[in-house]
Amino acid sequence: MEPITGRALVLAASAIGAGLAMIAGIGPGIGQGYAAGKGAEGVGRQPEAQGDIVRTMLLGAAVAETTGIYGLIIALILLFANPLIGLL
Amino acid sequence: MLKRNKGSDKMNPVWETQFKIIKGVLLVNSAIGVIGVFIANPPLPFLVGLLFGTIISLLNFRLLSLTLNKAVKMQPHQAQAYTSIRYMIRYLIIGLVLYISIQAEYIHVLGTIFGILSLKFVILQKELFNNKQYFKNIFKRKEAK
Repeated sequence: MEPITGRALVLAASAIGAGLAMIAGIGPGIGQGYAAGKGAEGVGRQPEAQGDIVRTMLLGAAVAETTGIYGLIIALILLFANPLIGLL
Repeated sequence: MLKRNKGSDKMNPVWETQFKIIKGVLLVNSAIGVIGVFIANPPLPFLVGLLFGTIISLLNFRLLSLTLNKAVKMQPHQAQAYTSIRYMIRYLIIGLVLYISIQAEYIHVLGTIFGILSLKFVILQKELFNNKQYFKNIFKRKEAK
């Protein structure tokens, strides 16, 4: 059996780290869906407030979405532009 | 159901907000581009990345607005599923853009990241931290207000 090299160890840990970072992308999806459901309920109850409801939801959803993108950036950098390999 | 004329689109608060945010993103990213010209070496890949990220982020924002406008007219459980699926599509688009930026040599990934993430800071600045009185009151005791 071949010994585990430092490079292989870093690559394996990076892959696990990328997988863990991708978990951050699930939350905003669930949150946006929940908000949209509640927004639809609100518009059904008070149709004249549609503009305000959509506006508030749009800003909240855009900010929440960026949080998911942080995780995606970390995952992609770990997988395709890993800075740790250069340190070996 | 509310009826809306095509001519009254400019008065729509959703459209007004979108326009304000888009204008803010373009301004902030222009400033980042000017700073990047002096800091980045070479500057062209950074600028291309910034342009790429800005365009995708604004298109994603527009797509989000269209999605939410459609979702509020649906049944709540339908809206929930519809919005979550559309979120995944947007997430995939951002993933592809970042992947291309990492792989292509003529695009600097840092520029793309700045372009994509500046939207959040513009929204926070325009909608949440736009009250000067709030900052003045931070260091005041409650009794002094």
